[in-house]
Amino acid sequence: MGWLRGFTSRLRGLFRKRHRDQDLDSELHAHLEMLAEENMRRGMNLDEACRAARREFGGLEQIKESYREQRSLPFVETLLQDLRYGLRILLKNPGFTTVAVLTLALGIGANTAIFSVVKAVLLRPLPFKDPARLVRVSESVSKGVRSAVAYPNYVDWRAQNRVFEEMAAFGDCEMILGGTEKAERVYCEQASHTYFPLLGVSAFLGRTFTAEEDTTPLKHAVAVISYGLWQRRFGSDTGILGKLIRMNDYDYTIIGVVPKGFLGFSDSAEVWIPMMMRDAAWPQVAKYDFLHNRDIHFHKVLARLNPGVSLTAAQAEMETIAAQLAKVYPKENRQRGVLVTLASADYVRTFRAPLLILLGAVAFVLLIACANVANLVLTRSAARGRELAIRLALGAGRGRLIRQFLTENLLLTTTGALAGIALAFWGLDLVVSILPVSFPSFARVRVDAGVFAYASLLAVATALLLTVFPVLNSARTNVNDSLKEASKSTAGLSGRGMGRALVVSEVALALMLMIGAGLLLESLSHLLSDNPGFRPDHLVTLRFYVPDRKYEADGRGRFGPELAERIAQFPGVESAAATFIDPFLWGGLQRGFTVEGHAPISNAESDTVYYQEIGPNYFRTMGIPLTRGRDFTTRDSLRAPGVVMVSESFARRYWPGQNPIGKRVKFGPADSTSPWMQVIGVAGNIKYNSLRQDPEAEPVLYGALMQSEVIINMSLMVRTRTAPEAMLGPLREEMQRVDPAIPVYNVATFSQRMREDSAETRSYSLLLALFAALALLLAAVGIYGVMSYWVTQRTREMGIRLSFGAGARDLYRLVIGEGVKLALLGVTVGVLGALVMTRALTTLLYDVKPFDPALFATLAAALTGVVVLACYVPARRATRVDPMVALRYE
Amino acid sequence: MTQPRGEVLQGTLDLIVLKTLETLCPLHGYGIAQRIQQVSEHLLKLNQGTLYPALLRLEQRGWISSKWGASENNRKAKYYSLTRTGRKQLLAETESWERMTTLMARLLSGEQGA
Repeated sequence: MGWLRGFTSRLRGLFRKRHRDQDLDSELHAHLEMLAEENMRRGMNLDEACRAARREFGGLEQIKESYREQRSLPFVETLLQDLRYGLRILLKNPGFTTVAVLTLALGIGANTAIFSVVKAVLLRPLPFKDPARLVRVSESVSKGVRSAVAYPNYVDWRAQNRVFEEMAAFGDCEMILGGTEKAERVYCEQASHTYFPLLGVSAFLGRTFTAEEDTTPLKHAVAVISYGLWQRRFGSDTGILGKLIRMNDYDYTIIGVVPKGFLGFSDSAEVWIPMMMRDAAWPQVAKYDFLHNRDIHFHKVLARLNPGVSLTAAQAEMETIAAQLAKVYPKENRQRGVLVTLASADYVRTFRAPLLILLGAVAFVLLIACANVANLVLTRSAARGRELAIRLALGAGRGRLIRQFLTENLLLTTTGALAGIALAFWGLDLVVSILPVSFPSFARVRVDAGVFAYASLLAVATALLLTVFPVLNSARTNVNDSLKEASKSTAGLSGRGMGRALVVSEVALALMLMIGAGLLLESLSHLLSDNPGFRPDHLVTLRFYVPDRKYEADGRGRFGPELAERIAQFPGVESAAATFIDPFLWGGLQRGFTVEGHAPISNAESDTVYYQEIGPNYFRTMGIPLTRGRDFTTRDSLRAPGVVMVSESFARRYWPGQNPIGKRVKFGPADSTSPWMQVIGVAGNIKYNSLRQDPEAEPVLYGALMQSEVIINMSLMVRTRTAPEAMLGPLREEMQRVDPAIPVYNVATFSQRMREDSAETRSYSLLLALFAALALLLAAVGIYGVMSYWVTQRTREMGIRLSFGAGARDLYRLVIGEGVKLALLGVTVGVLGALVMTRALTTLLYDVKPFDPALFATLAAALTGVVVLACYVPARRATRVDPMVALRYE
Repeated sequence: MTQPRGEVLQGTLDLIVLKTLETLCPLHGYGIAQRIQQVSEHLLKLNQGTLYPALLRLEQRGWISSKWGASENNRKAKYYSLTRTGRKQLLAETESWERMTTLMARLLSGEQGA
């Protein structure tokens, strides 16, 4: 424990220094006097005795110094000393300090804000029990492409595997809540009884499902509801347990309420029913027998890895099981692999790339801010050249000087970081408001301890970076030269080189950011202006639910088309049609099918084809050209032969160069018993999933709603004569006049829908543009700083030039020429850098190549223009130099 | 190259000071220096000032303690004395020192099997 006592005693040594110094002085003096007395006793005279005493004693000051070092913590003592000194210097140059701190605050603030988003969205563990061991198990149709799971496969997986502690299956669907009044659509998960325990969630009121409720179909009509629904719909009634809740015209007994914030793995569910109840919720599809049919891939499966089992081991075991199942069920499980992925990957998939790109972008901004401050520091250290030279001459070690610089820079960057954090507090709202992207509900974007730590890390890194510049710069400093040179106050050559390097790198960094932002903005404009294949103006979509028990047999199929006919008569409406897709939200079903005379179509391929059921008049209402054949009519009913229509891309893919009319397709494999259906028409390609969609890659097979037996939800497409926004309310009311029990939801004009679809691209491009603008501003300020310093340094030269007859134009050319030379070098570096960096953007781009010569050239020219402007002001100052004053300047 | 006066080995000064204080205590810095020179018969080259950082170090570790007092000539002086832990430390260090010297002696005289 000796060292601890030593340390605390040294710590004490940091304080009451004067008192301790006096103590030491008197002790040493006493010693010297005693020595001298002894010497005098030996016969020396006073002078001699004192001198001898000092000789014997050794260097008084050295001893005091080493005593002091021993007494306290020299490291801390020097630090305090440097801090005091640094603070004094910063306060003495308020202009420098303000500019440097503000610049750093902008750089660090932007980084802190984006990092808090990254931390909340990408780094936060899922709010479930032990999320590191939580995995998704999916079927896969081809390598790496996952698909939903057939329930019987899940049952076999669960029974056969030895790698998972537990597995759970769930499916998510919309449900219509309530009876005739206050109808409301909610998301529902039908879950196995293992679902809640697997996620580590227990009921806040009541209980979750029992194993018993998960064994017999249609026997236990029970439901668990979310905290939010309990508050909203039941007024937080604590006596809720045992009460009934009506969903899709079926009554369930509420058995539990889950804790606040839990919205299921789908992050949007508000109701849960046992897996065994799904046929009650969707009687229309009961005939498909989801629970025993290996051909219906609908469910999602979660599992918890056994402790110590790796993802790869689990994948290997599951592959073995899948291979066995394929042998036992060759017809259904042919080509069905399995894929085990971390559950957390589900949440970050689409946010990962853009957020990391934004993080990279703000890092660039910080680098530019650093370059600016480095230039300020450099300029100042040139001004302090004499001070440094004197200290070096007096024997200060280079290490000691570096340490002092580092302390000063740390002081600067820490202040900058604090201001930056304050800025981030304020700016975070702005960033989050620009990002209307739906992050996971549990992601709380805020400045917390982790973000604070990140900002501190940035402050330290920045300080190190700032110290490197002057040190590199002074490494070659010759003390002798500096002492002489300082009197002439001309910057050393190396100082100029550093200034140039800063200009070049600022131009390069700013250009890379501008190009990135430019590419994204261009993608955005392409997204919005590209022809979607239909006429999106004056078009409205309203989704509704078809109450199954009220409309029997083909009355159900006729319901949508008949509603469309009635709405088409409504004032202001040009035409109306029904479809079961919800444009840009849900693009239809993927169903296995067979094309007559065509080789069997693999699962992977049939998954790219979308099946959509539509009513008559759909193409006319949407403004989609009918290129061949005829549209569905009301005569294409359940009593007529089955007919389909296809998109142009479908026709091109399966009957290239042939007339598709009259060709036949059917659902299921070649030997399935489904009836053949004849192609009666071909329609133009449209985008229906997203604006980024390539319709050629996702063909559509259109079925007739009037021939359908499976309808739950539908949408009405309405083309209006008047402003579509004003029609939303009246149309909804008119639909409810037809049947007040129909919930109408997801009501929007197509332009709204399409804007929402491009919102992500818009937010990311806006943010990137914001950072590019910030980078440009900082770079302009920085280049102005370097150039005006350069001009000041050369005042004398300018004076000489002027006195020898140089005109203002020559000086402009000199200064601006220098700036442009550097800008062009920076542009070259920036373009090369952009060629590499923009590859990261590829996934975010739409219809734009990462290398776009026109865009590159425009932005490079714009940036060079800004550099010329930044040089103009110092150049003008150069021309105003009075030769006489300049020559005497030194 | 003969060295008439030996340099103080790193680390040995502590032991010397502790030993000195064991026999004579309390003692001021000057007294310690005189005593060391006297015992070593001036064979030890010692800048007397270097004693002070060593004294501080020993005090920081809690092996010696100090107190202001009056010297023989009625001068104000700081007196050092050995503490209990200091005494233990002295024992331990003496022991290890002896082990070391025996080892060195054996090695240098070329004896077999140390």
